[in-house]
Amino acid sequence: MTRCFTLSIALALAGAAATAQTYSQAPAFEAAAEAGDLPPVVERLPETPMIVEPLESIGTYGGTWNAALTGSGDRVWLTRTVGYENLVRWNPEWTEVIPNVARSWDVNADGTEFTFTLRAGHKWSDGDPFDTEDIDFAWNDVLTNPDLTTPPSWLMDGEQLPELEILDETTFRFIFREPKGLLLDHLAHGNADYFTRYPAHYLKQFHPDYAEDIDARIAEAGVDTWVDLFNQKASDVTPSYSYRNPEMPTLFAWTQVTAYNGSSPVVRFERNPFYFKVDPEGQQLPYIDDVRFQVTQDREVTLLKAIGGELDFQWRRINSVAQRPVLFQNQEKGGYNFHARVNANMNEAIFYLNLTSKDETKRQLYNQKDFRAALSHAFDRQEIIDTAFAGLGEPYQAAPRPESIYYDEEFATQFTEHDPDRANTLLDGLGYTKRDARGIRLGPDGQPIRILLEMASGKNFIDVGPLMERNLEEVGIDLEVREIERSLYETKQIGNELDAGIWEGDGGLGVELDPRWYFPYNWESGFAPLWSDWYTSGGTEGEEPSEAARRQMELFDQVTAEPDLETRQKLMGELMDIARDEFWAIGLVLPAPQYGVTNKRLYNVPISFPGSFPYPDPAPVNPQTFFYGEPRDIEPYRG
Amino acid sequence: MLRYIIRRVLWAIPILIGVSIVSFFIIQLPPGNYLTALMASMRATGESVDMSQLQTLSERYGLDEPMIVQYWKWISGIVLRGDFGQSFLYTRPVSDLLWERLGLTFILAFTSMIFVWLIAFPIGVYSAVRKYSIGDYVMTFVGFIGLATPNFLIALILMYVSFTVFGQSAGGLFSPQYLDAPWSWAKFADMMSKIWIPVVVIGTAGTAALIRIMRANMLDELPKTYVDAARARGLSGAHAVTKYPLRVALNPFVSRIGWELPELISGATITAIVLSLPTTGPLLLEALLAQDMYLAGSFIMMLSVLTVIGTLISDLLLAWLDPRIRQGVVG
Repeated sequence: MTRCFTLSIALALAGAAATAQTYSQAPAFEAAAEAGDLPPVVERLPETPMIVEPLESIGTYGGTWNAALTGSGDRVWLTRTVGYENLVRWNPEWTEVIPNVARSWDVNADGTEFTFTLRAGHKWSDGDPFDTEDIDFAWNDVLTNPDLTTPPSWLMDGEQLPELEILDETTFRFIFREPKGLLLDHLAHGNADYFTRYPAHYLKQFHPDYAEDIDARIAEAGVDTWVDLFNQKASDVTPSYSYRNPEMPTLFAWTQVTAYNGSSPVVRFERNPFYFKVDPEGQQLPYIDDVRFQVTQDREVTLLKAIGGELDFQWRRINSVAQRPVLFQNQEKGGYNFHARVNANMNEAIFYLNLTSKDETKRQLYNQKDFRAALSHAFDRQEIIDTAFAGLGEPYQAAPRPESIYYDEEFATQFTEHDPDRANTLLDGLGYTKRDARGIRLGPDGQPIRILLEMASGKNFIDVGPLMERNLEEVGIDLEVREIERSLYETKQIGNELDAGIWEGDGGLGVELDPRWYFPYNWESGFAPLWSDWYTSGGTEGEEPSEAARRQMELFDQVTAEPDLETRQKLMGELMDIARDEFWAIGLVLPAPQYGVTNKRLYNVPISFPGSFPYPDPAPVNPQTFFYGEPRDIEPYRG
Repeated sequence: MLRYIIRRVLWAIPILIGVSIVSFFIIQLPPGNYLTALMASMRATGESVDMSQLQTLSERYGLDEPMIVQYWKWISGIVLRGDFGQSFLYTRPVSDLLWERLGLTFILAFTSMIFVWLIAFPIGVYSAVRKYSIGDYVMTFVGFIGLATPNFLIALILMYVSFTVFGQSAGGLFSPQYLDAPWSWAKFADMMSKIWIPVVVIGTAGTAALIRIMRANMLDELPKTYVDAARARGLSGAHAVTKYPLRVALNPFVSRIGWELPELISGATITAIVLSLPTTGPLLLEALLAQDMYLAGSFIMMLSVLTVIGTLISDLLLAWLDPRIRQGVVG
């Protein structure tokens, strides 16, 4: 925290220094400003613009960034490319939170009061000022209006709302009763645009507390209620920004021209004249004139467009294991370079047994660590990698990635060796030595040990099932794999009805933001649904967890409250040690890097960056600084 | 004739009521609802899912209400106000979404229908008249291949060919530069250079089926005595065929109109998705996957209404064409 704060001061100082220099702008705006159609650039920028250091070099203006959206549910690709202008953001390395729309912040020693300072003179894309009036509106009229939505749980003060205090036009403060150690991390999350996406001056005309003619407006829009109207105009309050209404002003580098609403074949964005970032020479960003997203209906078409060289920067929907050889084969023809995403997931597939199963026998069986260790030893991970993941990846447990500060080699590799003898010894040691006619071991109740593994359809790990069945049969366990529809899977998981499940391993990096695989954190910790219920409900629902899990929950409560970074990491480290010893779930494969295409002429694009949604790549590596220059070849990052 | 029409129209009403119930409830059959589907897709993309926020959505959409209440809300909107409801997925009226895509869907469907008729009609007649000739075998062979190969496979192959051989941009009906351009001759020409793929794909299956139907009907008719009589009167071969048996064999063509009408709207869903066509097909699939029940329900409802209307039209056409049907003659 201290570190972040010092950095913000440094940036603020740099910003102050920059005001002394002159700013320049794209040629089209130069002409418009001279003709009097636009205010001069210095008036359009805030007093202290944010200075973005380009990765390679200062760029030149011009060009179009062509990309593709697949289907009409692909809005996160827009957030990752043109969106992501939160109060604060992740630095490109994903190591700390840095200022963004907020110029700086200050946290009191207890970690209960957060004071943010906005940039004086910051403007929406229509030229209207962005100030604390917008923050006030976002909080009091949108986020805490029960008809529209509720604030996300990380912004709540226990069960209550925190207090928002508006100090002046550019300063506001959130006051909590309990310390909020992770608040800034959450505010930098890809979804956390809560305070920077509701232009009060525009949206008040659709809000009944301000608009007198609200009934007429509801009728005009052909909807039933003001809530529908407001959602339509605000591009959906929940679940997240949907890019439906290009009329609404934004703070983005490129403002939207055509809506993403199922009818536009192309979703287009063009340079925002009021964007608040500049390069170190004072040139207003972005460098690229406009962004064009073709909307395809199918990922194979997106892939064909990529190998045809139609897309200038894209990884979305073209980075699956199966698509990768096609991308590499056609590199020559399509004329592109590669960028690599180091997947923030630590696993392609985590196999978990339900430790809070309704079935008492199962519960007894699954809660023995040796039983889980035996299963883990029984899996031939290399065979799984070769068969289902094109030989890419390595055997890995449900443990933080090697790049993470919480990396623990023992945690990552324990029980990953394919060793059926060891597995058999462990199972014999548990006393399950009797077998039925098929050679299946008899469990504590004298019945053959049968595990029903349900898999959500449409995922990468569908091919893993038969291999796992065979591996377990070798050690005398009967595994039955069943594929079910995805939402049914989730319903069953929430309802504690799964016997065993399999899912991707989120939280390999950014561990504090998504610790679901390290302790029973929320409903997504499928290995112990009743324990996570107990935790999220504050002890009123579910079932009291084991001692180790309870200790982890206490530790995590301390982590979320702790303002000091070092202490926080120490506490989290302690939590991870327990996770290693408890061995809640069985990981299989560490994901290999994924690849996307970069136009050979595109500069300032890193050859590799982390890939996740809390860090909504590529946004944190600053696409506003991408620009077109002379074509060149770059060797792909191999990991 | 009038009584016949009235009876048919009256029959359509209970059918439509039944269809509306079935289509609404079928959409609700899969486990979960729009919100669970939404949650699943958000999880897949890594977005954070906040349960309390989703709860407000659930209340807003009335998803917690009993099914019968939801049905009444939907059907009363359609019947009383012509309002098909709001799509959850797009937060827009369902009717807007459908109308926008109907134009291109119709163009595509008509072009393929004409393609089918132009090819199937002469080939069907030819292979009946020259039964078991080499030509018949070749046509039959090609026809069966068309019928047996799944549409999406042909679509993928043709798309790949157009991409690698002709260097066209993959998918869609337009090249990228024309996608959001206003209509012009250049745009029209561009569309024509790309529309052949979907037309051929949608057409092949239909062509094969129609060739077989035409051929079978003609073979039924050709040996009949009235054909011999016509020949005996001295009519030339071609004339004798076109004047009598062909007209009788036309009946199935006409009754097919009843099925063509809903196909016009559904826009050959799978082909359209594989080829990324801006037609209504992909919209339907997305609505079903996302469990966007008003969009999907209204869509299926419209398809059913069109099937009923189409059947009515083809019945009337048949009645007009064939006096035996008009007068209810049996046999």
